[in-house]
Amino acid sequence: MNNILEVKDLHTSFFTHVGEVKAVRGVSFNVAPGEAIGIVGESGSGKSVTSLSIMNLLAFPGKIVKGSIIFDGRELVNLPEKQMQQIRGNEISMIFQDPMTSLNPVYTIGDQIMEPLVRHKKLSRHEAKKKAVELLSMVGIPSPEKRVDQYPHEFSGGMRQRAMIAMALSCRPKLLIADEPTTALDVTIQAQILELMKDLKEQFKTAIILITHDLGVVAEVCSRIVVMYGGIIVEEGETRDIFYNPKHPYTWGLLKSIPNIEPGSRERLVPIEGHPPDLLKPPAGCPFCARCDYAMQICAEQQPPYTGVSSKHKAACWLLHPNAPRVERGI
Amino acid sequence: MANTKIADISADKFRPLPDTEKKQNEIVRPSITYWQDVWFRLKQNKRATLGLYIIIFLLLLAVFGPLLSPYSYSDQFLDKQGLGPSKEFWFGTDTLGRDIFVRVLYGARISLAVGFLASVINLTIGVLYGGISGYFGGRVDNIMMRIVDMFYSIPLILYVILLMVILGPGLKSIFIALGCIYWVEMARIVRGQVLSLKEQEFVLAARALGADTKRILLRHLIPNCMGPIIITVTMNIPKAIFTEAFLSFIGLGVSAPMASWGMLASEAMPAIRSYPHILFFPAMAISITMLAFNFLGDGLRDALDPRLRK
Amino acid sequence: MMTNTEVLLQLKNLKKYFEFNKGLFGQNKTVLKAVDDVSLEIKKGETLGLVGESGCGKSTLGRTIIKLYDVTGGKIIYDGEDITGLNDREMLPYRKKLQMIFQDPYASLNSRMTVGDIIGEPLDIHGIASGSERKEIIHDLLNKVGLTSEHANRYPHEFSGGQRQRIGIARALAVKPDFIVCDEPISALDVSIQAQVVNLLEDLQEEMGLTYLFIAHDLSMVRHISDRVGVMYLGRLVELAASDELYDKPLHPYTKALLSAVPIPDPKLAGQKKRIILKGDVPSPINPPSGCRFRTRCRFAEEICREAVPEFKEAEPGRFAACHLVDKIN
Repeated sequence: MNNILEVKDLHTSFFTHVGEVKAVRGVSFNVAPGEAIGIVGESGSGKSVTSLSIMNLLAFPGKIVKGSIIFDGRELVNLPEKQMQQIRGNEISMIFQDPMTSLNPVYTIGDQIMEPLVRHKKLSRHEAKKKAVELLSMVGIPSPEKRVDQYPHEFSGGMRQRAMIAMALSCRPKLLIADEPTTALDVTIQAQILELMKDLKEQFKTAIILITHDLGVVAEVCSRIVVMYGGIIVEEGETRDIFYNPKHPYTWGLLKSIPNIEPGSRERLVPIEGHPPDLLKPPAGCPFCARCDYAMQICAEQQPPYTGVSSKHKAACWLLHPNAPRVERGI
Repeated sequence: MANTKIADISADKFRPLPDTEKKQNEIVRPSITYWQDVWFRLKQNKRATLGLYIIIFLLLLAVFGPLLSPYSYSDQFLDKQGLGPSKEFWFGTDTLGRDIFVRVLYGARISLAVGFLASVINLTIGVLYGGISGYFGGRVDNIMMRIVDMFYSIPLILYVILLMVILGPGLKSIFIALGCIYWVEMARIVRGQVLSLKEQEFVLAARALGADTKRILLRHLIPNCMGPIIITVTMNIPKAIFTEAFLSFIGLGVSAPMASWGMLASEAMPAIRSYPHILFFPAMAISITMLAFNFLGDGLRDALDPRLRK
Repeated sequence: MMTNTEVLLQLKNLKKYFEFNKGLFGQNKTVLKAVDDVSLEIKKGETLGLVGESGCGKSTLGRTIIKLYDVTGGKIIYDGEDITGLNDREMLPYRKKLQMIFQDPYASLNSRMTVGDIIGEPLDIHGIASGSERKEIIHDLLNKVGLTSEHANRYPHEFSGGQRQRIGIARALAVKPDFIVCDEPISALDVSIQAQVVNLLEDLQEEMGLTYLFIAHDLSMVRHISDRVGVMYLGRLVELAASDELYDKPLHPYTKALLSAVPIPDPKLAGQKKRIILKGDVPSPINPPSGCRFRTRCRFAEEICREAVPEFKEAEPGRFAACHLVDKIN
């Protein structure tokens, strides 16, 4: 057992006044030390809720209903807030989508990077500041000595995201969760940030969970991909498996709906028709059933089990059942 | 869990599912409008519900209450002055031998009428003033808001007193005075809301379609400010009631023999040592009303807070 | 694509500046040149893509074209008529011809109106239809964008992002426009839904003969939908070409960097690709660099780039670029 993180049968729900919204419905996956995995899915697939559950940062009325999250040998579900605070920002840190709102505008960038250092690593303020300057220069912010005393509004979007990464890495966490870290950024800035994340992965051997809806981003950074849909994992495998040998119709659809940037391709796009299920009343069977071109009777009735394709590649689809008709991926 | 059975699934289960059974575009969530949602939140707040019930109860009492009593607000029983509460006179009688219960109920009519009418005037003037100021922005906004600032620089009650002195005491004067002054707060709130809403894309879309200013204000901007407007109105009603009570108390309000709560309190003052109950009942009525409206206002603030909606 | 040569919309040196007053009496004026001297032509029935990073002025340009902002300088000529100086009333007939689809499917629909009323509003404003005829038009429009007539009585918050964007499209179509500015219509949508909306836009174009100005920052989607593509940087148009040519062989160094920054959804290619990583961030448009605005991040920059503003000229037949060194670096 050398996984840094093991999520087992995680169920997370939001108890709203119209009813229980089952955002995550039985998710299990592992992260090995130093590994970068990508969680891909659209909004409402449960990918962000999964990460917030790991961090124990679910806002009211969200709650982990069932399941276990084992980080470095410790159970995180129901861990007292005091102990969770010792882990957050120290052993697991998180980068959020919006660098504009995830920094506190009334403290300097330096203060915010120093906080976890003073808190968790018990550095003196002087040492912490020196370290903060080091971190800023590591994430590629020019003249860090000057920048460390500036406020978030004096930073541009890309620089704020760099500062967020510096903050997240300050205590050398074992696991970094990045929730759509480049979605709010422009492509040229996104390229800079992705380059930075790849470097950091090599340099520090930090395990990374990268949550995104952009398959291009995961293709660059991650070695393994988890595809989520309707609150469950529909397919999981190494990056190459997912891109070149996908087994779930949703993954097919996802790959097909990306326009080809190759020359001379003005053929019609192939979208996935319909829209994701409302998890207030999750479907009894496969969540993708309503949008699936290959849906069968059984898909509407029973959730498909995971079928292993290879030792590291599995998918939850009835098409993989021996009695199901053979369907070729339509690309 | 179902693993044991998986191999036994009959082959006909693997027949394609017809499109009609996929329910692609079905909306499973019940259709809940914004106001239904607000109502639901409000109902969950016990204090706000209590406030609401008290207000409804007071309204009913004010309208129908006087019919329950055989006496009128001006009937005097010269042989029964200053009686304590009894079966005959529920709240007792005052120093002139009038039934306090009926007078408090009549007072409720006047106080609540002042509260609601003043608020309606504030609402109309304040919402339009603030809406126009916020929507046009620039120089128009600058001038309009400096006028509001002028009002604000001196306590509003002072203007009301000055106006009352000019207009003379009486119910009508109170409406006019309160209506003329208290809209400034509403104007400020609506302006702030409109300023932040007017850059939203739905307003741009309406402009791109050729909607004129009136339509944008009345159909797009103001309906989207309804939350803060309702909160302000609910908070303004007790303020108006209190102001009326205060004015009547210092002798600028309605005149005898009409009764308002402030006036009842004022009449009770000379005899406070011998007949404290004469003051107790109108004072209690004022306090309960204030509390009820404030409970409701707080509840509405929570229920309408956009940050709580997803 | 049915592209003919007739010009529908022409921009001549279009400028849109925003002024900010600082100081108590507005004595310190700062000018933000959001759109600075943009000239281009859009032909009938074509889709012109417009790409650039946030703050480059592409959305401002779109909003200025349909006169949501006052024009600071230059001309907008629509179908031979100069509409630059028209007031709101004179503009009204053009509002039926020029329409817009917005970026944010949540903020672009009034949450207090039913879907039917949102789509019906343009009909009311222009007095196109009322009563049962209005209802029928609304139902037709809903069907046209892939929704059903039962949806008319529901409120926007009951719909998903993609469905809301369809409602926004139906609203724009209600006046039967000729020209639609699509201001990042798919940026806020999920990948699987983006293709739905793009296909819908393409179908509608074919069916109704629409002309699009398609603003986006997603370069691969712009390539897919556009006949020609313009690239903006800090308020200026830096390159304009037929989309295949632009993507195959970008001329301007900024376009080169922009295209190379797009992540490729293919792990094999992603590993091989040589990236041009631009240094630093986009400079502030309040105080843009002198000469060529891209020079601070350009790896080819020379002395001349600091001194003179490069002219937006035809570099190759049908291809325009604003770069002093365009011949040298290509």
